[in-house]
Amino acid sequence: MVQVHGSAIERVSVIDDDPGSRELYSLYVEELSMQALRENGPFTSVEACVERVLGAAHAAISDFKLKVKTYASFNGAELVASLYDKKLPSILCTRFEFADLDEIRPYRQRIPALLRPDELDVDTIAHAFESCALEFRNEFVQTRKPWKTLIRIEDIHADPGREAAVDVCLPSWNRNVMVKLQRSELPEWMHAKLVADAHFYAVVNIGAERPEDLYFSKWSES
Amino acid sequence: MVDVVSTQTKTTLRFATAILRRLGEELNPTMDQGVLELVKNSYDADALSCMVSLRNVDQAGGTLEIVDDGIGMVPDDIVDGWLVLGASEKELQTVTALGRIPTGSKGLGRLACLRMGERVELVTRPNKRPTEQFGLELVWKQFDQADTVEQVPLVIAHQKRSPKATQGTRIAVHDLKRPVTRPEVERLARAMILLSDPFGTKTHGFRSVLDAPEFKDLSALVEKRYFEQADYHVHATASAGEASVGIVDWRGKELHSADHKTVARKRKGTLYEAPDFEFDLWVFLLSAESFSTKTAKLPDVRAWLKQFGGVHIYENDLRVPPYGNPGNDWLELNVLRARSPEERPSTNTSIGRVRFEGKPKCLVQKTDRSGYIESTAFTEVKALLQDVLDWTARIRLQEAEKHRGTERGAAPKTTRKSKKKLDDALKQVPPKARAQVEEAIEAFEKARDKEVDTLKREVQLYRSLSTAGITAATFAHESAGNQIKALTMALKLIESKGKRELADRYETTLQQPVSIARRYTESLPVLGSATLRLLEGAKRRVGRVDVHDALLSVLALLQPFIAGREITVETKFAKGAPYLNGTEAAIESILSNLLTNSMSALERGGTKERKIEIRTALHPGKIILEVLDNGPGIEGLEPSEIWLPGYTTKVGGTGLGLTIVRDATRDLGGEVAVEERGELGGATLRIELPILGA
Repeated sequence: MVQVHGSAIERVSVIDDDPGSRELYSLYVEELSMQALRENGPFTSVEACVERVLGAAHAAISDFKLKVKTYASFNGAELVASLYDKKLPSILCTRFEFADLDEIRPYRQRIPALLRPDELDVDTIAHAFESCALEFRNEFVQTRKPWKTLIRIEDIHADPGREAAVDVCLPSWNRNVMVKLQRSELPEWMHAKLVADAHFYAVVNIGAERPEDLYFSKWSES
Repeated sequence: MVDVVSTQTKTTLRFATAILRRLGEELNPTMDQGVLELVKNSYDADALSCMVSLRNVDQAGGTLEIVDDGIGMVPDDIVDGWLVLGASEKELQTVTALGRIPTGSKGLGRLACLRMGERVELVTRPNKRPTEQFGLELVWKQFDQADTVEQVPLVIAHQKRSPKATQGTRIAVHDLKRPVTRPEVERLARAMILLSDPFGTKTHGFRSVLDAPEFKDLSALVEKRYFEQADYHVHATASAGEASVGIVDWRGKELHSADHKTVARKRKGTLYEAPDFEFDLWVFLLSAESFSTKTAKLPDVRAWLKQFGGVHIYENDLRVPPYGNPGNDWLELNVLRARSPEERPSTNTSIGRVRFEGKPKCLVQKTDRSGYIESTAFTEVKALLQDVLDWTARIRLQEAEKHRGTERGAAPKTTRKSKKKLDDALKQVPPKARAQVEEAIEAFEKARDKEVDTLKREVQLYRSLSTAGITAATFAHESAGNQIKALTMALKLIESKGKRELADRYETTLQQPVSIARRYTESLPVLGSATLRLLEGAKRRVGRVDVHDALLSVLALLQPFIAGREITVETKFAKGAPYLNGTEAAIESILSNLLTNSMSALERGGTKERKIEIRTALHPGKIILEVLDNGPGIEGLEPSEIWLPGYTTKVGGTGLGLTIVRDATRDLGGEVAVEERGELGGATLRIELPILGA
């Protein structure tokens, strides 16, 4: 059984719209001698799901795409971020495409553990729950530690019929990699100032290794 | 009893002289902002004109002078007004004799402007005391030497006025600390021109003039008023939270209108918590076609819009900066236009004005004059205007669609009409030659019909392929996502449980089948991922494309399929990093279709030791891309036919791959060529593209 700072995680809710995947997540959980609660849904709201999980489990594992069928009216990123607010250790597990990142990024600060299926094993699950619990006490693992960082706008994407987006560069993280952010993720006061080469500050976890692990918050003028 | 003697020391709060710098210079960082504050003081003093002059300012030590014909100041006005910094706005709400509402200057901008020099000279001739004038001098060095502001005594000199001297105020800032640059003068000129709503038809009786050539040029430009050349004009009003909007054409005739319910449909008709205002936007279609029927010239209108375009805000007939300044797109016109270029204006194609009558109490300007505080009221003004713009775009798009539909419907009718004309003309041809001409026309019609048929087939094929792409992208996740995820997790579980339960025996029993299953599982998501990557919107944006990078990225995307067919791909790229102006999607279309073509040929020919080579060579101004393979070469088709749509020797093939290569190459301004049997034995397809550099 996974112990997180003295408290045992005994029950883990498993949220996935595919019954086969739910079963497999449950087998992993049971490998760690914890009880898996297979959440069969459907969930009409993220609040209802959070209430259900909080009332029954000490932790949760959720898939990202929950809305494809009629299982839920929200995606896994929204759910895990809401559980984070309630200080419940949670993992978002998904085989995401780049397009999915647009939907995940706004919640990324409140998703301490984002794992791909091939990264999932008993060790990574235990470690993920631990790092969640650490963050609830305001302690961050290196890859999640927030730093005030200078950010440069590289390019603006405004494709017809699509939500506008910007490519940003974080010189103190990796000057060769551009990170795409949806304009709607950025505070409104920035919108009229989004031009190539504009500089801003944001709080970012620049210890992250992969672009998909970066989160952005507290934007301010440079 | 003991007597208690109480003593008192009277004192006041005092300010270090450094506060002058902080309050003035740091809160009003630009020269034009400071000067504008002084011009606004003139407006508040009921001046009809205000002249700003700059003398010898191309180097430090010059002079800035502001002269107006306002009501001037008596000593009490100077003491209790002009010299008071940070006055409350409440005191400034009284309407002036000319009915103006004071702009509410707090004096900080004035301070910034005055501190631009070493010495300030104020001379004012009040209308209340027609025989007197008053003077005051501020020498900043005295403040720098003192510890507190109060330590520097200021003296207002009372003088007799010459009978010829009329009322007004003159402020001269001497010994400017630094030169004034040309861009600063241009910015000031623009700000002064826009200050008192030069676009309205109303005369407001205040004119501020900058004595500089830049101002004359811009004044002449602004006077041109190209409003009547606009293609359409949007007029909207907000009244007690309700919006209404109309679109009128260039003659002022109403084309469309909408009430609050329609404009506010996104917010289900709830009222806007915005003050009352009027909004006008003049939109120009800056194309040669649109200007062919207009009296103004396209470059003139373009220059005018470049200088004054954007949506400006006027409060009480005076402009509120920075809305509508270059680079300030507060209504996000440009972003919205980029998303829907057809029927949306940008700051370069439109000019507009939001006009608040009087001074709305719920809108408060920031102390540093960088616009309004982002209050609910201001956000709601923006929301209303954006809803108005959305409605306008919807209406314009509906119109454009209708127009396109009419054009499509009208085409056969037009053809019939033309045919009748031709027949009538033929009757005029002498009978002897007529038969010959008729024969030629018939041949031409047959050829044209064939071409139309080909185009129709091509369009249908493109539509089918687009549908296939859309379907693949939409269902990529469902078709394989869950299955792949479940297989990956199951295999990892089998592996970890197997290792634990079987210990050493795992290696000899389960390891091999598990690793084979894992390898196949890893190759499964490739098609879905590749389809989604090919459809990424950013790839269709025109911009700089690094050709080698784009080629390598296509190759990486298709690598799993190439490896699956046991094909070795070799790249032989020229030295350098060639780049062109185009879309990554075009390069992707070219190479992916060429590779798919080679892969099909290798499969068709049953070639062993399958090879594809991708070569690039650089020549002045162009890159030559060659894709060679050791397949059977071109069989069953003429080399020129391989580029035609629908021509294929592959069973079930679309015959469109190489047509797309040809079209994408032409889009990039290049040419295609083919060698039936090239250096490797199979076909060599050659693409020549113009480049910008390498």
